[in-house]
Amino acid sequence: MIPSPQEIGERFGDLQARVGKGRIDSLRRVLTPVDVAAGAILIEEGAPHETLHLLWEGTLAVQVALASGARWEIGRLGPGSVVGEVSFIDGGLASATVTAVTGAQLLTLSRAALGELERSDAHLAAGVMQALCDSLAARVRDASNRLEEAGPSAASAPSQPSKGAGSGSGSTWRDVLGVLFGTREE
Amino acid sequence: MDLVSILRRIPAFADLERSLLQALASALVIDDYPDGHVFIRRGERGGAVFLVVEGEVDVLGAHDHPINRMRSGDLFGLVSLVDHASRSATCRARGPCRVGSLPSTAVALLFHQAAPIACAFQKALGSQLARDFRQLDQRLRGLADG
Repeated sequence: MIPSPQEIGERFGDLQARVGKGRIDSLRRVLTPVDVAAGAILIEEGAPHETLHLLWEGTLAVQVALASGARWEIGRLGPGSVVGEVSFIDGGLASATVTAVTGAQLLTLSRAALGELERSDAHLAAGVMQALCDSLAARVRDASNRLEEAGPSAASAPSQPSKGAGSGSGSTWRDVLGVLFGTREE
Repeated sequence: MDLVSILRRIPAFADLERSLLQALASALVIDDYPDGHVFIRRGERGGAVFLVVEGEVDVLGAHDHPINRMRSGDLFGLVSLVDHASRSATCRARGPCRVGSLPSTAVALLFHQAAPIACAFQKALGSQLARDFRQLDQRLRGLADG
């Protein structure tokens, strides 16, 4: 059963702030409730994924793959989190694997549904996009700042690994990745 | 110089009605700038959104490290649409160029008058942020692997 507009607004306060309290009911009508079992893979890194997920209940784990083959869990997401926004925005491949640690309940919005919303209620669509951009901008800025704090050699390092470059340890970069993906430590 | 055609080349604006593109084009303040002109300085807040009409604009990060190069049809300064965000890069003319600017007050007015324009700008901003995210993600993983 899908939560009430008030419940959605309270749990996703940033979204309500941009969409407007009066429009949450309209947003609610285009959201699809989805239940996932513990252990289920919600998003697979490298695969196409164009759905935005609002996490209503449960815990999700975010994992990334490194070029070396190592896989890192960089953090977890709890109720009130928004998942999958980068691929939702640009239509690109998923940048991480997201797995349900517990059974989870989600409210989902497809890219196609956002397209319909742009035609039927552009104010609402703009509000949704603005909320996503606010969150993404803050995380990119925060992660960039931490990267810069590591020093000029790290901030300007190419994407290929370079021995001796950067002053951060592996765990430091994992933390920064967690910041970028908006996760929290468990 | 057909601004409407230039605007329509931007993916986020491609589906806007011609009347809205014309309204946006009318709101742009077009001017010619010399080589080296700084449109945006890293760390500053607020300001305008810009459209490159002719020429090139370099995007520079910390320590003047080049990040990107903007050409005709590219928007820059979109991060000013995010509240309380400071500019993450410096944008400087590379050679003489013609650039259109849209002050934040004009942006707010357009958004209020035409929600589809607001949506298009947010989509353009989102695309840029998604690109920044992916680039930063790759860089961090490279460092983590090191």
